[in-house]
Amino acid sequence: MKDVYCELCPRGCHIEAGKHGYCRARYNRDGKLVSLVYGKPCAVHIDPIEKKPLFHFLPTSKIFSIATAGCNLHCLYCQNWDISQKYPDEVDNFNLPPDDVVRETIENKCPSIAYTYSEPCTFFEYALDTSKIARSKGIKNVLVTAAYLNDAPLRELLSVTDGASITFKGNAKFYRDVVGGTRAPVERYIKTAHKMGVHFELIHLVVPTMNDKKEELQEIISWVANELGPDVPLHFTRFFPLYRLSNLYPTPVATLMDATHMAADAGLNYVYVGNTPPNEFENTRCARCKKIVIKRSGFIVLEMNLKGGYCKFCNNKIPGVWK
Amino acid sequence: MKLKNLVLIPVILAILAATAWSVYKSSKSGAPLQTPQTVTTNVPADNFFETLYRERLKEEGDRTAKVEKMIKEGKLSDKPARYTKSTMNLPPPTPPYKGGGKEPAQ
Repeated sequence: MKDVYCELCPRGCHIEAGKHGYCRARYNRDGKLVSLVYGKPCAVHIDPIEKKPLFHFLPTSKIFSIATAGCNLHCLYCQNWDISQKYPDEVDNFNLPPDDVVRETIENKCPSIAYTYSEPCTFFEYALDTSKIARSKGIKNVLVTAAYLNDAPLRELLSVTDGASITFKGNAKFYRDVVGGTRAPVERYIKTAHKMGVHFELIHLVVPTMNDKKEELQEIISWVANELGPDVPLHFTRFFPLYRLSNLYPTPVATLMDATHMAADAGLNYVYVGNTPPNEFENTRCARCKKIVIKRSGFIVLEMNLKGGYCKFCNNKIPGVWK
Repeated sequence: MKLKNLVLIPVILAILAATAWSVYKSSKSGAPLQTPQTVTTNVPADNFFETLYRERLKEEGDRTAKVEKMIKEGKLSDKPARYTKSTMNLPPPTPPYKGGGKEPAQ
């Protein structure tokens, strides 16, 4: 019998010989599970860190970003579906082993590497090995993830991770019906990152008619406030019609604004709105004196009033990774 | 200038003004700038993702030769994956996809 079980993520795929896991990136090669995408990214870019989005992590810096084909979820609105919902043999891949990723990062003067665009859980071995080398060279590691990973690999990956942008997508029904997964493993992932002291920011994409009801938004906000406390940055981002949800309309800006006010009322200190025209909620305000410590417009930082991670006006500590 | 053109100018101006007013009004009211189509929620049936996956599995046999070729050419990796076990000495296999993954043990 040449079947294998993959125990990397909560799906627990049982894979017959010659078949792929749900993520498409892991393949049963004659009874041995292999990663088809190790050292074979299909996307390599340099982005502003604000694009991830990470607002409390080395602001104004550039981040070397890599992704491979495949994903262990299937969000019906995925903006990167043309790589996340493809087999590795369907896309053009670079040959970029971990050493080369780190070398390119240093040559391009980027202080950090993002494992992003598709889903780093599915290129776990590649991200892990690259992260170890990067850390040994003083480069920071960032996961941009939907947080669908089992506990043991999660702890191993987080041990070499400096920051994460984690999408927290909605309630259990939304995960089941729109994402093709379950919410409990995501909650566990977030709590583990919190316990391990890894800096992370949560992203909640507000999809019209799917997860934009006041009670649904309030549930997400309350969960963050109760389980993680007031200092975890929470980004509400605007949906645009894509992939299998192209029939929906873009999220009204007013809905996002309502969500930010609800979050502020719940006591969250760092609430942002993304994918929208310039607005007040792109700025970081000091939780104590309420003055703007980082003024932004889109991905551009216009003004920095931080001194070593402390508010320049009242010396309050702002959570994040600042150097 | 021909008389026909002179008539067209106020018509065009009126259309532009009406469009601008409509955009301004919808942005103030918080309504989406793009008029919503008839919204059909794409919430899939319970077995939607399972069906997709099973359909995919049926076709995967056809790509094995291509994958093997690409591995030999160095275009894909054959790096051993971690967090895996073979099914030897294990109970009979369960279906590969159980509708959204396992919940963690409580």
